[in-house]
Amino acid sequence: MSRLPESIHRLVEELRKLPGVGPKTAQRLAFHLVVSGKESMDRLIAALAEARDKVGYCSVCGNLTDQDPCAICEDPKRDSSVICVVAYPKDVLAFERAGAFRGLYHVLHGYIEPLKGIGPEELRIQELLKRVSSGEVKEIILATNPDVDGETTALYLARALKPLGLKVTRLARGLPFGADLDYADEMTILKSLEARREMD
Amino acid sequence: MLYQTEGIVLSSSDLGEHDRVINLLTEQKGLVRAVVRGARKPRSRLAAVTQPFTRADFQLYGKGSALDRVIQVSLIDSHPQIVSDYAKVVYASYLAEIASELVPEHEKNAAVYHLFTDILVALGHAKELWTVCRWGELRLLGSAGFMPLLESCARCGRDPGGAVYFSAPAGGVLCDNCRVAETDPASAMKVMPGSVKTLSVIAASSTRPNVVARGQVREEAAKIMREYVAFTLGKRPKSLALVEKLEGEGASRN
Ligand SMILES: [Zn+2]
Ligand SMILES: [Zn+2]
Repeated sequence: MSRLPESIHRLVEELRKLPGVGPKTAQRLAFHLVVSGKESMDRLIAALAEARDKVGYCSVCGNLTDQDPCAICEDPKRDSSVICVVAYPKDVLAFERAGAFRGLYHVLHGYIEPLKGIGPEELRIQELLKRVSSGEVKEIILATNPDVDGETTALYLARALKPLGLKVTRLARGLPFGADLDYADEMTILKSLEARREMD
Repeated sequence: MLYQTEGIVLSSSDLGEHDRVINLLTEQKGLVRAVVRGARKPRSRLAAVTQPFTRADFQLYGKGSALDRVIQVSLIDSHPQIVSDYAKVVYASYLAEIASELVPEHEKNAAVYHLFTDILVALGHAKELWTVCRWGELRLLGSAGFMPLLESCARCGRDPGGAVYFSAPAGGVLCDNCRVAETDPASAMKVMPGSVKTLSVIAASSTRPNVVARGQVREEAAKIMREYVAFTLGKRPKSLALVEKLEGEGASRN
């Protein structure tokens, strides 16, 4: 690595921080970028700068957006009586790809993970409770991963939401236990949404 | 080397795009960290067994360095009574964290494995989770040689009588005389005899104890254990914050 020019070395180090990118891939990407020419690199730099400046979180649902509130929250055709609660923005994408859900979302930005010391306060749960207190919301679909962290978070939310007199449902177990929601195919998501059950 | 052992998943974390690393408490090799390849792929047969508190028969491959690899698994118990109850998950996570701090890697300790199995079964069936948690804390510490002295003064061995103090550095209760003689007398806290008595009854039980603590004794006994656990491990367990929140809620409801 030491024989690389310092600027390329720095680029490799930054690329390595990206998910799924190992040292070999990072080096390949860096070389590809520097030989791709000034114009192509300028476009990438501009895209990065635009994402940095414009993308933020929707103040209502917590999803990634470049306008606030986001396009989904602002869409009058969407059913504002149903909120689908997910852990991460990538899960919103999985549902939107499946195209079956016409309600709104709420992104928690994580799971309750006792072993990492992540409790309910670290997630956007207060924001959710505030959202449903308006009275317009009739159903909350808890669409967290079908694993221990996802179940734990769903159990906690059900406990917090039930006293408010809402219908609280959970995605059906069409997904194998331990699976990651955003790896599921569209058909599986559709089915688990249709067959959701009420939590007790 | 290929080997076979029963084990319980204490925790798991993602690795790369498709894999997971599990922290296993095993019957044959103490603590083992192992990779489950492809565990996050949509139709993985191994996804379910990477989940915390899963008890299974594991076939593993290890070269004695770095991470072992999970080859085959056959499920024994996924503890559905725990994972369907928020409070039970919090307690189980906390006790799993203590176990993973106390048990050495790749060193057979079948006794602590069987103890932890009993703790999970007890959590699954118990209504009085507070008692199971204290029992789990005490017995896990005891299995590693850290059982606190609760009946007699940790320094002079005498019955401390009415003025009882608890000192984590001393490893148990102190009488008033010995407390004054400590290098740091302020590190010992004055406690009610009932709190240490409760803990001592729980500690002595080899199976899930039938004890219900209430009010101040309940609060104080939990506080004693929190201090002692943190002192013994050399740090506050990460999951402790959620346990404290649960026990705080319980106290205000009683
Ligand atoms: Zn929004
Ligand atoms: Zn003494």
